[in-house]
Amino acid sequence: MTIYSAPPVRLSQTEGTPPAAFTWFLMGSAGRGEHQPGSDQDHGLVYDQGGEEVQQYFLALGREISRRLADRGYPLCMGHVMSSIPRWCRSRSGWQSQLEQWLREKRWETLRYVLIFMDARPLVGDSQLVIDLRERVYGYCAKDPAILLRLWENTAWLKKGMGLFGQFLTEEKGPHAGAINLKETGLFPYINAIRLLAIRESVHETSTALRLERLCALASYGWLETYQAYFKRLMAYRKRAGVTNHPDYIRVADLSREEKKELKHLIRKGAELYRRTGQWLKRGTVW
Amino acid sequence: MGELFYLNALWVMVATILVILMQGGFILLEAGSTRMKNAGHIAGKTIFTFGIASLVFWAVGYGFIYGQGNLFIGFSDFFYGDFTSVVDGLPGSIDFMFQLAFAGIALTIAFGGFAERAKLSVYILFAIFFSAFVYPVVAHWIWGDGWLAGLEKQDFAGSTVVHLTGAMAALAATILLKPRIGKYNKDGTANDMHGHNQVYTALGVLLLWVGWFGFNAGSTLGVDEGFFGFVALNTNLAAAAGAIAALSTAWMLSGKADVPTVLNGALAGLVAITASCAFVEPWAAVLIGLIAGVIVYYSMKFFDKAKIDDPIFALSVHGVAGVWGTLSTGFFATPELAAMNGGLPGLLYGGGLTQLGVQTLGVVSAGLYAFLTSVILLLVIRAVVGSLRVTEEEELLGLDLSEHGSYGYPEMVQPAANAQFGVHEPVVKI
Repeated sequence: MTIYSAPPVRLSQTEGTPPAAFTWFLMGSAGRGEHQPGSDQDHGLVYDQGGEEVQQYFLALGREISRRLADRGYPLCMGHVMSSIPRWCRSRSGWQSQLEQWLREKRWETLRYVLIFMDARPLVGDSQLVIDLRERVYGYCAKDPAILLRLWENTAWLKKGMGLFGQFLTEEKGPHAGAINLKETGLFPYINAIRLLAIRESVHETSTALRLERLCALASYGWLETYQAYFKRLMAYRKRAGVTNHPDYIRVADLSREEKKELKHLIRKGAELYRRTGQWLKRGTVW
Repeated sequence: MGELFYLNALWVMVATILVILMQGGFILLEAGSTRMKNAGHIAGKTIFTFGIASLVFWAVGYGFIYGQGNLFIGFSDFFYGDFTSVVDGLPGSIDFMFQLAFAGIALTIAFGGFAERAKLSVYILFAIFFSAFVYPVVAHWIWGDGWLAGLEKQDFAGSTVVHLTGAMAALAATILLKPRIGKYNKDGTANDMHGHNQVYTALGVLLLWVGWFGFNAGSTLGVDEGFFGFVALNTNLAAAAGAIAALSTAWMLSGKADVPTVLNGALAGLVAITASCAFVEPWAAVLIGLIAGVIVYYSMKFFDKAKIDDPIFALSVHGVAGVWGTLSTGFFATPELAAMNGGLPGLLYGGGLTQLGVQTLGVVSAGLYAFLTSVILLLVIRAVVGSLRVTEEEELLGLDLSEHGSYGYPEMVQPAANAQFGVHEPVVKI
């Protein structure tokens, strides 16, 4: 039971009842329910409506939440994805126009914000506020399918997990020397590809596993089922790495011959899934 | 073997070293003219692509230029290596090394058009192909037994052979790669993407200026009658005039004595005098440099307007100035110097339009060949590696991190990756 699945601590600094209905949501790995101890905080807030004063109230609330979470061992987000930052703390209409502007601008960073928002998982308040906002993004992408390709390009860079000779490319220095960055080389292509497909099919779940389930239930996604199995296996490796080391880093020395072989296969398949997702978005075929 | 033979050998070896040191000038020039996040990548790729150019030139490049062949290409002397041969009155090995240094410079100029956005694999493959199929063919035409040499085209040290060829490859690359992210706005206006260190750029130009004495004066291939001194004089005058002309032009037209323009003016003067340094009087060298300095200013503006992103001004400095330098002998070549170094006197000395015509033909044919071949090679490379360009994320992050896994200046990694967002956004965050 982490703080991300329990109601948040009572807040003292922001006096009185909130001036408007609001929803506080998680993003990033916590939004997908895939966070680990030590994951930094990523959260945002949407409130029903209100002027400058109301905005100031919720920004103060966001600051307090950030501080309290930091006190409890959730590091502040280096990327400033926190409800204490105006970009991530807006009224319903403010969010609507911001999302639309992000999609219209189509710049790399604005599209990255959109992708971050797509993993929003409401934790406090009425989840409908977030669902409505996500629906708007779905509508926008349905009208302009080229955006999906731009979103695909946005996360196309992948840290190499294997070298030319099929050897693992482990971290060479630092605390994780000799380990593979499982998250960046293995999981990211699955997470990013499945998120895109979820956007395409208007799936509201935010965890990769649930998105996969919903997608695989659709008639045209038979091709995705093998990847669902691969993703589950990868998550199992991640769990195991967390026991002895750090969930995001798996030490090659801890793996048996068969496991090494399997892990390489899973990493390769992730890259393949990402590539195929691009083709699927472009041409509606994965072959 | 008389003393002269050994003195010639020594001078050309010194010139070879000067020309190879120009790579250092290009490292500083290119790294200084671009953004900090790509500095290590630019410096490193300059070194290893010179390595590639060296091996390819040894294997086939030299043979394609100077081997026994036809009017289009040479075809012998592959995998060069000999301590007994004498070529051009020099030990064959020294002649080879001098020629190799030039091939390396042409490639580095070509890579100016790739800056800040091409994949590492593209650099590697293009280095191989350009060093085998682009540069040697043009060099054979003009410096070997090619068809333009038969027409007595004048290009003493390579305004066309080295600079225009490199620039046309750069043009092909920059067109196919498309502009860097952020260079042009939606309404078509261009943004200045300032280089991160003008001191680097200026030091780079100084190193190139000095190296050019090897490039031009070394192309005498000997010390006979001290003619290399005259060539060095002309070279220096044109560089000086180019810098002054570019400075004056920028200052008069924009009210600002823009530093990069001044530096490009000096380089344009050097590029322009490269063809003509052994054919013209000093007064003409000054004039050639002055004109080069003026046209480089307009050329930079032109490419900006034409939406051709030329990150380190290779097209203006090496291409446009290379064309002007090649044509300049058609006007200013003196009868004595033409008799000494080949071809006919220029228009101003009663030579009529013949030499100018040959020069024009040389520019058009060599330029077209270099451009079209580079386009074809890049399309082949694109078919092999999927795309020529790094992903958007890598480009924004900078190639030091994405292509090489380390940062040119390690302590700056986070701030630099964040700088483009105006706030502290880590770039890989999802």
